[in-house]
Amino acid sequence: MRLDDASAAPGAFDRTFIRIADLEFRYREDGFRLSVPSFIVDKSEKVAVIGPSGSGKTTLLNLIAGIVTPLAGSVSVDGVRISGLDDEARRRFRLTEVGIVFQDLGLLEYLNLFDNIVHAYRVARALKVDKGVRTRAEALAQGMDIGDALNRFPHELSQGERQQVAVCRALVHRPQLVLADEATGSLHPAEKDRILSLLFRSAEVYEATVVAVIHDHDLLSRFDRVVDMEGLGG
Amino acid sequence: MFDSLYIARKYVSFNRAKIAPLVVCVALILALPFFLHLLSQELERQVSSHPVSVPDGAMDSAPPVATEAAPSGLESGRPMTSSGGAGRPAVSAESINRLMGPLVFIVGAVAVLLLILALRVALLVRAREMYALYRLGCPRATMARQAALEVLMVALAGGGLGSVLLLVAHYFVGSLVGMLLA
Repeated sequence: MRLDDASAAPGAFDRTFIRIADLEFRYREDGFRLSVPSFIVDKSEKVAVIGPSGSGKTTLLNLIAGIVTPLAGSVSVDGVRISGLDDEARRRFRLTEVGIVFQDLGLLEYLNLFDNIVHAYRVARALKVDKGVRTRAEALAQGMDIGDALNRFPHELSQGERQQVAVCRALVHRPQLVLADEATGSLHPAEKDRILSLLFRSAEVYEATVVAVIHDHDLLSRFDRVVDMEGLGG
Repeated sequence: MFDSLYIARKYVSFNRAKIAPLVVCVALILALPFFLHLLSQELERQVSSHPVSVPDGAMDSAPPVATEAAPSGLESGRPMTSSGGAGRPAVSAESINRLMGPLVFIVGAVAVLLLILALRVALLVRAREMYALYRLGCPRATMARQAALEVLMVALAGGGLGSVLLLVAHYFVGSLVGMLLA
């Protein structure tokens, strides 16, 4: 674990990709608090986040993605202070620069699998669905063994297959940052390894950084680093 | 724009069973005022072509619409008047208009209230989806455009259905009023 090296990271060749400093966050509804004095992730690094339920793992990912903003402190990704951006800029950042696999998946029930996978291209002005995108989406779906189901709807799939669609959606626009909240949670053990391999392979091709909340301790050895939320003071 | 239209169409198509009551509601809201107007015109026309009247004394104690007096007068093909021949019309154009004004208002108000309730339920149902779109980074303008296009599609479908209902009503309104006056 490396939880206190925010000041030690800068150097001649700074590979820092995510930098969180003196972060304070609190949910108004239930009073949950999260304090992160320092958290750094290097470019192309694969970091697993572990910790007990309610320790703030999902909140940490939400803070990095700009879904929620801290009360104090800063969150920077690739040199851009996300916590200082306005709502529209944070949305644009999420849509174009980040691939997110949500714990509840967040698939749109009225879109078939293909449309769910390329959804970012349909809502972002900067992105357009072209032949390359279609090919990439189909290749990702084939890699996940759901290539034959692209015309089906999420409610027609098993939870594991839905999870695979969410992973495809997170990877299709070749994001610089992949945030995965229990991306392999509902999969069979053999499937978990395969999906994680695909996620890592895609991330390596585009030199993407991966931060993943993981409950399955058998998979931790595949990450470059493991961060325990209990050590963050959440 | 085309992508928003595409997604909106997908949403409406997938949820057509849930949206159908909303379309019917919109159709009724659009068609009812016209239908009531049509009805009042037809009533006026039929009443003026078959004036029905009751004795002066009866009008003092009875409500203005004295339909019970109508059959015998209409069957005989002549207006029913008081013994002195100086009776007043039982159903006048003025009384119809007096009745129709509040009726249109009440029906319209109930329909609009139903529409607001339906929209509130629709928004509640979609709150989770909206949050998913927000988390994915869907721009606010895109979400608004998509919602507007969905509303437009529902309105167009409701307008189409309302027009069909009005056409049917126009065809049958004469018979309906005839039955009401019979």
